Amino acid sequence: MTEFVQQVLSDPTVQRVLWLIVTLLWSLLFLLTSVLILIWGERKVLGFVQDRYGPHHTGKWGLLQSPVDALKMMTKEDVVPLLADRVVFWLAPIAFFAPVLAAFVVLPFSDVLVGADLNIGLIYPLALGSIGVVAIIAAGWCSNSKYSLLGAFRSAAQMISYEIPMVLSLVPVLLLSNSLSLQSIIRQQEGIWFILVLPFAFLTFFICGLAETNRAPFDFPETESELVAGFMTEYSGMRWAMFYLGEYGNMIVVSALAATLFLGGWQGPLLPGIVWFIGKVYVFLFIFLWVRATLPRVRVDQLMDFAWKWLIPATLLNIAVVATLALVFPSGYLIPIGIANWLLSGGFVWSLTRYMQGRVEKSKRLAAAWAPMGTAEVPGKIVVAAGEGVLARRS
Amino acid sequence: MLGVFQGLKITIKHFFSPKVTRMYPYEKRVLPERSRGLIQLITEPETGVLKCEACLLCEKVCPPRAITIRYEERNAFRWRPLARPKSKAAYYRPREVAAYPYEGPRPLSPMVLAPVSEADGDDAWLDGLLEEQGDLVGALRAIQERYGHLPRRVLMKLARNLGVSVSELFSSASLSPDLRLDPISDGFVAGATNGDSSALVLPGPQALQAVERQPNPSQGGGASGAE
Amino acid sequence: MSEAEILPGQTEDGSLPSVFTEEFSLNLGPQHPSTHGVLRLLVRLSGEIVVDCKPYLGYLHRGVEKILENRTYMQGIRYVDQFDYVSGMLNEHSYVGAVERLMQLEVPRRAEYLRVVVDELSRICSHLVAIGTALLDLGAWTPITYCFRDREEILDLFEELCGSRLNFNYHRVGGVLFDLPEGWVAKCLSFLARFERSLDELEEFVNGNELFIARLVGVGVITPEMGIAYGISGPSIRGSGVNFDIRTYRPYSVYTELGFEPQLATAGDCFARYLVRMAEMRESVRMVRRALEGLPEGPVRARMPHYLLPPKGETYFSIESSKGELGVYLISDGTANPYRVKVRPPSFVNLQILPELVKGQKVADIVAILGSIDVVMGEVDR
Repeated sequence: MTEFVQQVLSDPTVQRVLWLIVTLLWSLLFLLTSVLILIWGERKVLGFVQDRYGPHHTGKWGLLQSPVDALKMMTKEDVVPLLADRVVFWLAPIAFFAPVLAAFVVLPFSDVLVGADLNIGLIYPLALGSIGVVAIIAAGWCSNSKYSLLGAFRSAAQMISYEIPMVLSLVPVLLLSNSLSLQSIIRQQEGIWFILVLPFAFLTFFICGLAETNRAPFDFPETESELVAGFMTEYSGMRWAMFYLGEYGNMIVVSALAATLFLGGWQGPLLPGIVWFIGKVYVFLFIFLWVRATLPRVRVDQLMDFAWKWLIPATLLNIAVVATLALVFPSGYLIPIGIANWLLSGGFVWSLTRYMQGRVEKSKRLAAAWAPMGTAEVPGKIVVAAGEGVLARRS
Repeated sequence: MLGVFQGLKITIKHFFSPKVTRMYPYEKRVLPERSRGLIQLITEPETGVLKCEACLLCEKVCPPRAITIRYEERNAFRWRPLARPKSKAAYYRPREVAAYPYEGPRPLSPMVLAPVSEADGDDAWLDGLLEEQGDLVGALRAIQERYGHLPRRVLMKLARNLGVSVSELFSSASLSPDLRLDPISDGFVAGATNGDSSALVLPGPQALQAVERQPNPSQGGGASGAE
Repeated sequence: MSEAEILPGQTEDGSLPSVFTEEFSLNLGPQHPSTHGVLRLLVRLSGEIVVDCKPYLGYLHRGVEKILENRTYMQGIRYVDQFDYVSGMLNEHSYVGAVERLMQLEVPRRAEYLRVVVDELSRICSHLVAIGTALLDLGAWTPITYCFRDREEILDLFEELCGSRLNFNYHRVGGVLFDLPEGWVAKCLSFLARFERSLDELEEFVNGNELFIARLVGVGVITPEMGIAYGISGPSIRGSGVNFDIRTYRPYSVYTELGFEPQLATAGDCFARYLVRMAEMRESVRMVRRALEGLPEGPVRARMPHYLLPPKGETYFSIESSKGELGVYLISDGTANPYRVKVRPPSFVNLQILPELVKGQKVADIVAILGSIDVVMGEVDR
């Protein structure tokens, strides 16, 4: 009996399949628990930043808040609008959530725990992000509501615009690592983590990640004070929870990519690799929440402006500089590239600041052209003489 | 983008600073002295009696007319329990005696203090009274002859039978020169007489002694009308 | 009418653009997180650009002016409190000031100083709400909690002073109701010291932030001529550089003694109005400090007859409320109730400029402009 089992287990196909099942279960487990922790964490972090505690009474430190929220969403009535396209209505949340889960297979949790170390591992999650756009448009369309449609279009436009600088910002990482496979990128960072060498790539990648996941400051499509909740307006209960899961899952994928590509993945001194990886992912998730708590929303046209006129030229410039330096210094290119990148990020930050201050100056200059108006030009008092007025006319 | 980083710096500073939340049910704020949020009738601390005298001034002055006072009138001083010598609550009994010049029962305002219940007493004779007597005045005189005064309880029953209000009966009764209504009683003795006001038929000082022998109502006593 | 059918987007010579757009109406309804109170805006949009905007009012109309005709003057103070409910003391001041002007009553000096103190603290409360909610509408979740934290301390001070946090009933005809309790001045001064640091932090948070600049600068520009034509007053007009402040234009109370200076900004956009409110908060802090330091002794309430019977006549008295010129036109016919109390609410007058300002702007700017004009529906609808 045991011989048979051993014979079966030694078959590489069976091993492959078992390994896939293990990683799939692990991804699902990690995703779901992380989302639960994120739901709690978002409210806690937002609360702490606002000088208050977040959820406090449901369980110790409010930890029971997430299971209670999940239970609430599962028990909600499933409302389908009358004229909605039922098939697409049913499919859209699934189509939004599935690519997120599929992206987990390539994330290297430790040096052995990775679902499939594809040799196109870097492109794969980015490509899956594009499928999310289709799901959003489908969700907005099938709800048969003009607010959902508008929100879906805006969201789709935003995500498409920011995919380009996202991919472009990762090209320098590719140049440095000479491979698309995520494990080998991590192995390349044994000397120095890429965030110190390519800070500008990290900055642009993170900003694009914020926009891709519809998080603040780019959360216009789903703001409550504008168009209700955008493309998710007509979804309730578990369907909405799928979108929510998908959004948080996207956040986790982006954080995991950032941790892998820039912070060295599972590398770290004492603790096991998986602990380091999860820790780094949570650091980036905290930065997501921190940014949400601080920054206001960007208007839609300013959002597109920023992507097309600032990020794309900046990332192209970054590629050009890194590639040139890699050619010029074939052997020791890390230090020049590092210096150039730090200068580039400083320049980007400084120029954006100056541009915005320039807008303030411009508004003041425009106002200086107005004729000065003081108290004297304001029309004077209106005096009601004795004998006029309501009472006099009445009596 | 430097402004963005500055904002992030401020936020993270607040993240690590002490929170200002007050855990409400567990820690409550001490309200300042002049705070006027909660509206309730208050009692005197020493005697436990409500301070409200139903003067209805608050009802008249309230701008949104939000106050309604429902009350039962009294015909005497408020009965207060014996106060300790040190307290400021007045010691009413001698004062009452001094202010009571009459030796016999005297006409008073037509209300009594104790809660009036119509359930006690046999008033079967009341139903045929009006036909027997012929008119209202005769009926009222018959009631007064039977009880010695016009008990409110009987008047309420009569009013209900006739379909008029009690005050209309009173206005008819006040035409008679020897009208007698429920006599004086002391203080708030709700429940102390169990609805039987026969003890209070006695003239003034004897009524006082009868009431004296009753236990203190604020200690939950509820004896019947003692002799 | 015109002969040919003009399709939207068609130019005069009859050529159509390559993209055919249609306008549609959006209802930013009375229940909405960003309309400050119950304001309904019917917005006609052409894509993202606003073509027209119609405000619908009256959802909060309580008939207060009619009620006031059936209440005595002192009973009326409690109703006037609830116009601009975020800054109660200023409304009361306008009302009792009107009655005092009608009766030609002189208010004791200590009462005037106390009135200045509570008025300016109320102004700070109101500006904190205005800034906090304006930033919340832009998507920033934290500055509102910082603002409300400071406002909480002011309301605690008010509770110690007059007993209530919202319906103060503190001003009376002829003075104020209570004198300061013990220790109030020290608490107030320590609060002001902390508050100035809070203001510095808020400025650091907002003024340099590029995203706030992107949302607020150049948006909703009120030129001085437009502002004067519409009758705008308060921080909305001072943000365009017009030096119009009732406290210097038609001084009341003791502002001239305390050396008050109006705060101005030049640009006329939402950002300038925000800057004016921040500067006004600092000026209010200065006023409170000066008033508390120079507080004279004396009674806090003039001796008055028990029943207030002003002479027959009518008068108009206005103060600089946190939103603009808050005026009360009072007609008395000699009885204990006023004949007519007509309130000139600044938010109502300032709201008129909204359709003009949002024409040509994007949808997201509507909430930014509404937040910067600072409308409180309790005042608009009364």
